[in-house]
Amino acid sequence: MREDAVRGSRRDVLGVVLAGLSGVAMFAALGMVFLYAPREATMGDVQRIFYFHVASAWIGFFAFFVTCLAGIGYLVQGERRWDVLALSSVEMGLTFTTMTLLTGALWARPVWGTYWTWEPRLTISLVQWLIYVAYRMLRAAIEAPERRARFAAVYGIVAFVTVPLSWFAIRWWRTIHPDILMGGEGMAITPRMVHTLVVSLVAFTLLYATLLRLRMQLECAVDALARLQARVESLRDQLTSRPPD
Amino acid sequence: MSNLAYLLFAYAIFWVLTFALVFSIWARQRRLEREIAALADCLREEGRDVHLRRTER
Amino acid sequence: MTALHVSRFTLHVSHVCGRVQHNQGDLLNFLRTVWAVVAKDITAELRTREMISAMLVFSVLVLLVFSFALDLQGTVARAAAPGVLWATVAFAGTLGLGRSLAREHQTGCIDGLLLAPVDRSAIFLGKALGNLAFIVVVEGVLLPLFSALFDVPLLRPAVLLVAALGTVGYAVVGTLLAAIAINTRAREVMLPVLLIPLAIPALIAAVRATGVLVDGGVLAEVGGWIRLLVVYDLVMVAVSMLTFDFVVEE
Repeated sequence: MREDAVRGSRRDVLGVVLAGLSGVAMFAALGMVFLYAPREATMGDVQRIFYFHVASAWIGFFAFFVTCLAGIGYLVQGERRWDVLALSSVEMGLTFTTMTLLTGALWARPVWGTYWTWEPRLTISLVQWLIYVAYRMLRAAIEAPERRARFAAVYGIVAFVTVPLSWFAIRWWRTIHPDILMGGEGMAITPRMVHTLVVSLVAFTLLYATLLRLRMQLECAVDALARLQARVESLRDQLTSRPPD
Repeated sequence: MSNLAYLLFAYAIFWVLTFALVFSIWARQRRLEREIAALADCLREEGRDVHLRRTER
Repeated sequence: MTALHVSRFTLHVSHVCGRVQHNQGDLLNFLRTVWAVVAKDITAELRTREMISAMLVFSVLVLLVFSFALDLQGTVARAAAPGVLWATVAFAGTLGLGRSLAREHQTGCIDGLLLAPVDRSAIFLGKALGNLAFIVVVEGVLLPLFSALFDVPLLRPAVLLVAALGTVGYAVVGTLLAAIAINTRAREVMLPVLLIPLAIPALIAAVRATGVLVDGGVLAEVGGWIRLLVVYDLVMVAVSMLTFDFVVEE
């Protein structure tokens, strides 16, 4: 069997390299977050949540962008690999957006006294989270694989283009009526913080790439199994339909 | 809950979610491999049946 | 009724479009198709009026729920009016959009439409305009009602402009998503889940702009929101027209 399902016989070099790089980058980012980045003036150590919170928000958005591109790719080319990319990226995006929301809540509570604030980044993350969930529900509600891929592609594209518009709408809404509690970011940004943030972003991007690849390989294995089952079915039909000699 | 506790909780969430995702992918892969193995067994048995039927004639 | 209806309509559309032309640049044919679809939807609805009445009754019920939930009276009511209005329109809209496409699906009319030798985006545009008309009718009742109930001047031209812009975008993307939703296991129930996150830019803009305008603001003050609504509408129309083909590909 030369199917991708049997991975033991082939060394997945790119996968290992990606995983290794992600590990190193993550380690470096963590180190910088806790040792290199300065203690923030007004918020104290709790502010360190900011780095991974923003990084996961960035990946949440980037994964959505990838899904949109994959949707376009599928509609144009009609090949399953685009659909695999789309659904894998959604799973990643949903996970990272969940991280954004939870870490945002845990940051908001000690700093602003409430678990949730309608702050632009958190709100847009919530909107994206809901769109991801809607995407998954849509896929789950369609049985025919071709139609599922097509509809999901269309939804991914239409949904993604509304995100920048939502972002602007939410921002304007928030600047006109800023939270009395919040009154803006309130963080004193230093160069060291910028360095840490950049490293965190790189680490998260590598992590996303590694996990995305893993998920896509899983989906390819699912496809391989489906093909095998179809072959077995057709063989079985051939055998049982043969007239007795 | 002290501020540092919030910080640690937040980073814990990050690790928990990452590993939950990896574990979920791994678990699904395992299930898939089990099904493929079962399918291979099925094929072997069917092959044996066909062979037996042929030799009986 | 259905088979006869479908074949009769297909003939009608073909007749309306004159000679069979695959040349998609023919604007007149395009517009004729759009008009044919809109006219069909409106006449079908006028016969029973079941969808519009359901949307209207539902709107009033939603209003009732909001009134109790938020204790809407006096200044609170005035401040909450734009939000309650557009939330009501959004919910009633999902009802109408879902029902409109479900009717197509049930009668098999959509298959007849697709078999006709016409540009598919014309069909989509016709459907969207029909749905837009239904929502506008509901707004036509709600706006005066809200003006009276909440003591807010909603019948100003500026507010009507905001309403029109918001509704157009909502109806267009709603029609596309309803066409998708109707083909899922959950059918119309899927529509609110798909539609509402995508309607957020229009919702925020409409509520904020209406709020400013009823507080005595002038059109210039809400220029930013108007621009956002226009961009939203253009983007939604463009994307929907481009992707609708893929939704009805069967």
